Amino acid sequence: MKRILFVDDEPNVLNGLRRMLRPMCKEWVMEFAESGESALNVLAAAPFDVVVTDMRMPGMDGADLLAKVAELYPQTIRIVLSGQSSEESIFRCVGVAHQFLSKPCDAERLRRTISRACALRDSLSEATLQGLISQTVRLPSLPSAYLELLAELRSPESGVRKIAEIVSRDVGMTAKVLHLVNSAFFGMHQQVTDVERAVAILGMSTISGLVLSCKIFSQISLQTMQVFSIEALVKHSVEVGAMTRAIAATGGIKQPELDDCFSGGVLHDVGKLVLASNMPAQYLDAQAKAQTNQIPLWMVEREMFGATHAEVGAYLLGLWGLPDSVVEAVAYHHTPDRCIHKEFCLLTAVHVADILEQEANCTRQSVPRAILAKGYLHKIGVWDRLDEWRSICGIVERKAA
Amino acid sequence: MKVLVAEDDPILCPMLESMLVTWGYEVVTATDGQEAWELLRDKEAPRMAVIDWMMPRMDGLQICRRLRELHRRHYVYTILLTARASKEDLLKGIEAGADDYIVKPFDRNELRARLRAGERVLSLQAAMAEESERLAVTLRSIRDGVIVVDHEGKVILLSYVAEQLTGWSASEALGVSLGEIFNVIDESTRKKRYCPVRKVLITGKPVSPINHGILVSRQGKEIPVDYNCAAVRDTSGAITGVVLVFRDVTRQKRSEREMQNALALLDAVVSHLPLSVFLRNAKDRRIVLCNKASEIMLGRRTEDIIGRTIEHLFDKDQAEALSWIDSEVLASKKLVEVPAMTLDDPTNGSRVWHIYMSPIVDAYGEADYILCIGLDITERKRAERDREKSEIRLRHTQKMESIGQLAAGIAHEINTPTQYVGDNTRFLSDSFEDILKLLAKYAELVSAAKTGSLTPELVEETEALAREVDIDYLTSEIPTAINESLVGIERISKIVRAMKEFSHPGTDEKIPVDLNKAIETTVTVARNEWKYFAEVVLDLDPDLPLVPCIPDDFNQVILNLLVNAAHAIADVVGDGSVGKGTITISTRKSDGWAEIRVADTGTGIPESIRSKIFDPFFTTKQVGKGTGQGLSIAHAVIVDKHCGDISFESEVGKGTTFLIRIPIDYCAEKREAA
Repeated sequence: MKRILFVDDEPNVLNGLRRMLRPMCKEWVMEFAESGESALNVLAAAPFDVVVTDMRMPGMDGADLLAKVAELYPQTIRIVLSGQSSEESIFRCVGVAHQFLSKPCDAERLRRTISRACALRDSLSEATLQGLISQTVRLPSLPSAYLELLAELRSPESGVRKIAEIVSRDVGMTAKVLHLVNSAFFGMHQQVTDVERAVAILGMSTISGLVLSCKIFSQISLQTMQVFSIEALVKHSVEVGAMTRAIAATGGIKQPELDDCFSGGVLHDVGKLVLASNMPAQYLDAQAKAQTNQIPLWMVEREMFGATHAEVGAYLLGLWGLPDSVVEAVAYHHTPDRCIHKEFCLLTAVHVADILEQEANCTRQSVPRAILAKGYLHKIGVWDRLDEWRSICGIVERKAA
Repeated sequence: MKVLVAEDDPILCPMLESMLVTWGYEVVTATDGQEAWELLRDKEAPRMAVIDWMMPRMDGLQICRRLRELHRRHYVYTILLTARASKEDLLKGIEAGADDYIVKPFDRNELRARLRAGERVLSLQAAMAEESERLAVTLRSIRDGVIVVDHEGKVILLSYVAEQLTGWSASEALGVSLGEIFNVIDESTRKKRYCPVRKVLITGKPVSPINHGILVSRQGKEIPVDYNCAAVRDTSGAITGVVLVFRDVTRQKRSEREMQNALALLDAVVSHLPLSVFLRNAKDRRIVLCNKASEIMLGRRTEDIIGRTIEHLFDKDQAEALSWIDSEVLASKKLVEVPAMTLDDPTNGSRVWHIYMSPIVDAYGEADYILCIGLDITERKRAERDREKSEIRLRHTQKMESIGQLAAGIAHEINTPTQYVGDNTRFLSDSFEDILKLLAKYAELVSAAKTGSLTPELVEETEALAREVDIDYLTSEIPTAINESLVGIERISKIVRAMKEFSHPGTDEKIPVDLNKAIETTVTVARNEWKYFAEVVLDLDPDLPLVPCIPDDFNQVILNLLVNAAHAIADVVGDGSVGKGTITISTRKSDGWAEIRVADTGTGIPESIRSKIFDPFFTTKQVGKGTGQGLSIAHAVIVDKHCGDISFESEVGKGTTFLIRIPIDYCAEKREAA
């Protein structure tokens, strides 16, 4: 049984939720608290998997509450359900909430969001990692990209296209922008994975506010940089993004989903950023071990951290409410055969692009190369297209150069 | 008249003496030549002498000759007395210097006549000497140098001043060619100038003053001179010489230069002034001077301005307006100032000028000139206008801002009940399905009972289903869900209604307003602004009549006060640990006034800022939290638009009460406004 805590200062809201979610009572244990303070008391009594809270409440408000929850119960997934629509309230909770839902939220969406969060908890058994990822508010960015973005935001001629272009060249920024745009605060009913659209939806003023005052993006720390080449990761990711899109196009994926494929490719290694920035020393060990023993890095990761960077990345993106297709592609990009879907999809493209990119740049990669999932590709009937894709990727590679 | 009689004849001498004395002459006698000469050489020598030719020691001829050689200033008229009557003798005597000649024996009348003639000659000669003396003194006295040359251009006279300037002494210069003495070069080219005297000698026409020459003296000293010359003619009209007059103009040149420098300086100062400056002649009103900056005001280039009048430069109306100022300036003889005058100009468009016009008065108090100074205040005026506009805009912004803030709050107020109404409806929908299922089972049960086929299994099944759907829960929960939903719907309706009333289709006119209702509406609309920090208590006087008000503005004032009160309380209750505060809004009728009090239990207003709270832009809130316009607008609305007043009492730590008073009687209000 998953344990869900609802917090709202309006008892009628809690009553309504209790009644509406009654059918879920076989899977969920639901508790209700009428204020931040009482919510903390309830949490102290027993741990919860998910907290869903209102933003504006007398006394301790939702942002304060979630900040406390993040500190005390890092594994708990934090969701905001608020009737506020002002930018200020977004800014207040952007650092502490994993997902934002706005009132009125239809029953289906609420149930699905909570269910997804619960399922996510199951996907990653390692509690330490759960806490670590759950506390990840921002991902490190390339210093150059970060500075370029700051300059662009301060320029009077800054535009959506230019901002989007900078963001899409950085893994951390791409992830964060998609996180924000997929929150219900911005009134989007479908999920967004195209960075340019995301930037356009958020709007220039919100983006500036988020970047300049909320510091949603951060520069990579010096310590991390010393052990981990973020440039190499970002370069690899962006190239995989471009190749993923090219491969997906040949597989019959059409616009606008095709644009999403780029983000899927860019984000596939986002878990490495989480691991490397949170535990740089251990991650360096893992890389060294993989090289010495000539085994894939993700296997070493599983052994050392209890999860691969793919699982960690998927967990984070899931927490941040990115679409399932992206989360799935990130989660299984080394082991596509473990995915329940057995047809050509984003996952297929990301898997192939990841490996072809490593093939093309084998000199750069010091750790052993991952290998193509031959069985999976045979099963979905695309094994014979590899040569075609290789040449496409070669073109993409040349273009990028 | 003193006359010498020199005669060695002892008879003739006394005879002559007595004759001359009889005729009225003073007579001295000499009986020989030597004695006569001694007397003539004397300072007090006689002016006429009757001299016998033949005398001992020195004869008459000798005396005459010597006398002429003396070059005495006073001429001595000599008459030779002799017995020689030949023509040769006569010529001999005249040649020797005698003026007249009488042959012995002479006729006494002839002698007298000859003496008379001598007298006339002497007086003529004295007149001439006097004239010449006057001329010499004159020449010495004037500052001009004078040189006279003869018909060959040789110097025959050099005045004292001419001596000083040329460096030549008169004695050295006599007979020297003028070109050598009067050496003039051109001031700018420094080439030697052609001597003007020659031209005069040839043409006979005078040469008018020649300037910019430099006289180089004999010692090489350079002196700026102006000079002219004219021909001297004899009685027949023939040119006998030329007079050259020249003047040292060093001082004149220097003062000219100084004046020029001073004028240039003044000109530079005036032309660099960022003010339009021009000067007109007071009589014909033509512009005699203008600076560069005045080109903008007058709309033309300087060369096109000088000599014109205002009528040339401006159209009729503007020229007339300016001429009014002229009249006032000339009448009052004082500075006249026009703080803002708009003048059109075809190139620069219309500009606004601050004009100062003043007369320039001469020693007799007459205005000779009119000085006009114009300061271009177009930009300042524009800035003032912009500032006014931006103030209006800012007020509008504040209104929009508070409405924007309200909109967010209202959205929240609507979203919350919508959430639970939706949830409840979903619950009712799910429950109804369960109930339908159960009803179907009951129907089965009923029909079985009717047909007598009721089995314990069926009853048990029904009971199990009832348990499964939790009918007890449903029967107790459904009415509550319906009630709560209705409450939610009512809340939504209420706020939507209040919104409609609050944003009363903006009339800018005063209409009778139910202030109590307006307050209730505003409180409802702004609920989201205060409900987290405070309870609002309304204490409204049911007997308050309708009050003439601009509803929009009144609502805005109440909203501003309410939001301020909520913020003041928020600063106290903060995280909610001390419970909510209270905002009390009350209305009362008091002697023709409607009184509205908005009291809060907030922080209170510190003494130090109490005098400033109604100032525009004054705010204690952090940046982005308010424009600082709320109270300033409240003040403007109540005091200026409604002829009411707004005041407050505050105690730090206890709270603040704002009191608004608005006149109830429309007529009274009108009277007051008048």
